[in-house]
Amino acid sequence: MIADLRLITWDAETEDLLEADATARRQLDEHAQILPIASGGAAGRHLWGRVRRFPVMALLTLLVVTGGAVAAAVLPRLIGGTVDLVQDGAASAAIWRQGGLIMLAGLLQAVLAALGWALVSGLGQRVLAGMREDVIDRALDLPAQTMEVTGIGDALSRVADDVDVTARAVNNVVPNLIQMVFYVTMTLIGIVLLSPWLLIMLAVVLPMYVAATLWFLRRTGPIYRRERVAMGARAQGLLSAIHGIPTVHAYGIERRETRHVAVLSETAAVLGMRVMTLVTRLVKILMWPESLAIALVLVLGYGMVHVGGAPIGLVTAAALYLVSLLWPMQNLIFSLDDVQSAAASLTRMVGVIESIDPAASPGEQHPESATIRLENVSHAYGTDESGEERIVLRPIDLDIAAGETVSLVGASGAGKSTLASIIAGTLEPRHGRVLHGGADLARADLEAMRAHSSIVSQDVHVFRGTLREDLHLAAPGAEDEELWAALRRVDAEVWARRLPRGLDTEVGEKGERLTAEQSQQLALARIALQDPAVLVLDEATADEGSSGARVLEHAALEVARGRTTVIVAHRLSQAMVADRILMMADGAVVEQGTHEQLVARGGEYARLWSAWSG
Amino acid sequence: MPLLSETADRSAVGSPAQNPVTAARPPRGVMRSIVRNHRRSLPWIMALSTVTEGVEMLIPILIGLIIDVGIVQGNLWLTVGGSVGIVVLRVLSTWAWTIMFAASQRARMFERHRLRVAVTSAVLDPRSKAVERPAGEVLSIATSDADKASDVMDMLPWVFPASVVVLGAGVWLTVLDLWLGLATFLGIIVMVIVVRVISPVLSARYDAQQSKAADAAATATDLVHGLRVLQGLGVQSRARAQYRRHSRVALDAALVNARFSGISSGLTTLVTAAMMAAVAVIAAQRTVAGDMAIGTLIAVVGVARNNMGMLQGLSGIPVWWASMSTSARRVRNLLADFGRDIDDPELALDRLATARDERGETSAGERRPGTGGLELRGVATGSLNGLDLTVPDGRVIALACTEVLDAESVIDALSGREEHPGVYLGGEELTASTRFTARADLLLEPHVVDLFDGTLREQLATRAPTSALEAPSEGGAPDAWADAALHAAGADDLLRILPEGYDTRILDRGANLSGGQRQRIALARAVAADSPVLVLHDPTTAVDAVTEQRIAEALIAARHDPDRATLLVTRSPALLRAADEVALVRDGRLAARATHEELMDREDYRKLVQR
Repeated sequence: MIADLRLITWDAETEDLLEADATARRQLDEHAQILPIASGGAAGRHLWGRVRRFPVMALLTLLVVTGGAVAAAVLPRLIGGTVDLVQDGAASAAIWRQGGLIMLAGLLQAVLAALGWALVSGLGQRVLAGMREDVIDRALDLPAQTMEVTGIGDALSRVADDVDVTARAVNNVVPNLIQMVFYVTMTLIGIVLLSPWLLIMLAVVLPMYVAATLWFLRRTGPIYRRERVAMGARAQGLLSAIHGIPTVHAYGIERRETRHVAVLSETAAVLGMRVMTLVTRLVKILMWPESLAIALVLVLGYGMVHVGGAPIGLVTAAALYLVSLLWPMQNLIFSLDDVQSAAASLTRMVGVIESIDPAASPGEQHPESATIRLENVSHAYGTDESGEERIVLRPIDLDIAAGETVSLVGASGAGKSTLASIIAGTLEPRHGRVLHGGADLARADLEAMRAHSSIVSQDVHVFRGTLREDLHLAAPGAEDEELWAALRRVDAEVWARRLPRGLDTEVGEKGERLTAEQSQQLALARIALQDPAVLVLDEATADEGSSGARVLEHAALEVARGRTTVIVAHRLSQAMVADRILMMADGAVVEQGTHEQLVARGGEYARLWSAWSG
Repeated sequence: MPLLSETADRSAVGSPAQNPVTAARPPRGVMRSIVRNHRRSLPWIMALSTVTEGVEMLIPILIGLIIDVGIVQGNLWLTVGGSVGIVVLRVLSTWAWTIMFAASQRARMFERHRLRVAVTSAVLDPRSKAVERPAGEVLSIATSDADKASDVMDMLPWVFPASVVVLGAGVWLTVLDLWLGLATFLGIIVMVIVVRVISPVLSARYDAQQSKAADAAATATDLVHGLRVLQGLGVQSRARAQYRRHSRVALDAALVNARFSGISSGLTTLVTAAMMAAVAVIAAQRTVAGDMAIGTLIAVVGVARNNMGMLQGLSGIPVWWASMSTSARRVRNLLADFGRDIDDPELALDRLATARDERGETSAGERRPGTGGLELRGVATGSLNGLDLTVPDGRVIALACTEVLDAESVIDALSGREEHPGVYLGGEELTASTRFTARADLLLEPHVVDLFDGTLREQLATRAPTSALEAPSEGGAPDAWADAALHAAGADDLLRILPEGYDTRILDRGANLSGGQRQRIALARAVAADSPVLVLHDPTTAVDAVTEQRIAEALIAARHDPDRATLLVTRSPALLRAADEVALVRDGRLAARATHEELMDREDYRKLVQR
């Protein structure tokens, strides 16, 4: 087969490429990136601040790299000296001595290059490790509401792709680049030291270089940013298609999904090629100052020798300096690609670190009991067209006694989940106060509150690693006996014992696939280990078929025993066992009481119950 | 990033055995396929590249010549003329280089895209072997590995010409002086030895670093995926500590790698420097002895200096090559696992340009006629034990299984993922060759809801007939078809709740919706498809009782059509009561078939529907 390169429309605008794919168009819209991106300057300052945390190492690196560059830059000078010795008809011994000096400079350069590489790369890796830990740190505190609006795609690409791109650069390009930059600088200094005449040459050539490079960076920056967004969307498209394979096959939309990924891939390829076209233009432009410099050195050299009486060795050294600059300069141009990718990633990482505040304790209050009190709490999301708040929860006062079990029931959209999240403390209400055991959530100690109340939703996740590691998230250092006891409480012991290596079995993405029911049992086992005083179950058993739901219901009740529990349930079998049932409609509680009371009352709940029980 | 490289390596060993197709015929090499694909352009690209690299090597020789005949002998015109000549030569050479570079980069970008699309189609195509590979691993192969393997189009046009030029320069030096040639070739040989010794060590260190970094990255994505769970538990600080542990392990590996890379860079510098010193001394001795002109001396050291740079560049090639071929192998093995290979014409780009998903419409806008219904005859999939069941056109049949496993087996038999005998559609048995085209007549909405990024309207239009999507006739509401589908799924309220109605963007996997909303959108999507046969599996588990009742009535009304057949696999009393008939399955067999009310006399059925 022969590749038909015309299958990609190389000179197409991205808009045209995406024409048939509305989803891709929306994803590539600049505004799709909700998490902040730092400016280049801010990223640079941030990076500098991090390097300064390693003062000794940074200084040592600077010294070694400078030394290595000087040793390398002295080479043409020594060779020029050899030419002079030859011109003067020096003795063989003198030439051998000069050869020894060249060898010595080479040895010095080699040792310093080795050290310099390790130092630059090591420093870069240390800085990067600190950065990636901070990115995760902030990502873990991202409010759930933000994630609901943006999806987790953007956050994922920051913690994985951006870190990866930067790490690759730090591995190879950065040490190379820094050594090159120092080498070029030292060479330029060396040229000027040779003869002030050569300043004329530099004055002609350097501005052209700088202007061309700036032009290039300015033109390619936006292309790189778009390319990165296309890559992110491409990854997300592929992942979601793989996760949804049963649906893709059932609906026969495999080509549509492939095409979606392909369109984004083609966009990235076209953008990548656009950068390469700019590279060829840059090389064409830079060819002029380079060639001009060589010609100038020769012509100026003629003047220096015949007018200024300079030795031939000097011209040789100057010419060699120039020739030996050609290779590193080419190298620099080709590393610009990686450097710019890394810089784009850097701004995205710094954006997360600097713009998202790490979660801090709003106060010092500690909950003293497992009671819950809501005072005039209400909530709304955004505003509608007429500027009115979209109310999801109307003002409510609520007292829940320690150890009480409360169920929230009602049609979807009635505000059950909102109220549950507010009670659990994962959602901050627009108005009103939430108190846990007397502590106002707006003034409570963060870690104390996190340990005090937990919420389990229907989003299940089994963490990567062994079953033991997963459970240890909830109770680090718990003995195996305690882990088994927790699994037993949620009826998970039988299948857990059957796993090939018990608690040491790999679970999660890479290991044993647990069913949805088992995953939810695991979530409940974590609660048993975490042992919070307050537990909120937000439709924790919802997505299961009815037999699985029965098992989970039992496990949930078992885990809830002895805790203040709020259950959001549409399975009324789960709601009816509660001490109190709150019937919600349209953002407000319309009835409350025990199951018997509410059925006897013949209101909304009674109707719901008769529909449910068939 | 090469997530889970261990898995990939394991499959490299395991795949031929699992895969009879590839055991008979070894899968095509990806790298070979890339090179073959460009076999027409590669020769001239390499030729052009050799010329431009050669010119670069010629420059110091010309400079020496000009210094010799121009400056030393005091000839201004020759100096100026020679300088202009160098400029002209470089202009021509740069022009040739840009053509060569653009062509090779275009080929590289093309190959990246081609490999990526091939992997994506192979993984998503239902005709591929049904194997499961972790999504993260597939992603890393389709992106990072596809990119790296395509770098061969970046490497070849440079490595081959650069080697030729380095050797050519060696030959020129040998012709000038035997000792010079000896020093140069000795340097090259030492360099090759050094590179051969350090490359495997470097590759091993590099791989170690990459796998630790991939592990840290996988931990990071895993924690972000589980963010809601972590926040619900309030264990962010423990998750943070866990990531930090992985990050520090990755850092240690990276520091070791940095040290090794440093040593290797120092060694190659040392070899080239020694070579340089030897060449300079030998050439200077020759010149003093009068065997060599001063200009030649300058040319010799200039060439040696250029050689130094090129050799150092070439010394990185083996490590690059190793990581490239590992990536190419990963792409090949993944494709082989799915029973495909890279040159499969079904996976090619031109195929993508022409092929469309089968919507089951012989002509656009035509309503799909009924099939005559769905029939199971003695199906023995999974836990089933010879299940017989007919779902005729015009009827909505509910299937209630006393055992959950039986329900799942029925779904497996109907899903078409693998071949199961005994499933008849309109009297025709589904076979390996018909099960894909049968999807136009048989739609099974899986219980686990998967929504893809798109507006609400696009969600519903996933397989809606084009007749519905086209602009309506005068006076008709444009979204009448979608309104009807939402109504049948009891989801009319979504239009009120979602800020932009049908134009609201639903995120991947319905991340911005509640479980109940997701489930109802999936149901509406299935109804909108207006499939002649529709199978639904527990479609109302995430909705409240009142809504469920509404759905039961509206859904069944929507599907009541003389040429539409519907099967509901469920235990929900609301759905069972509303269905035309209920088939009760027990011990993998049909136990009874009657209305809900009649079946309520049976003890086992009562127990089943009681929640």
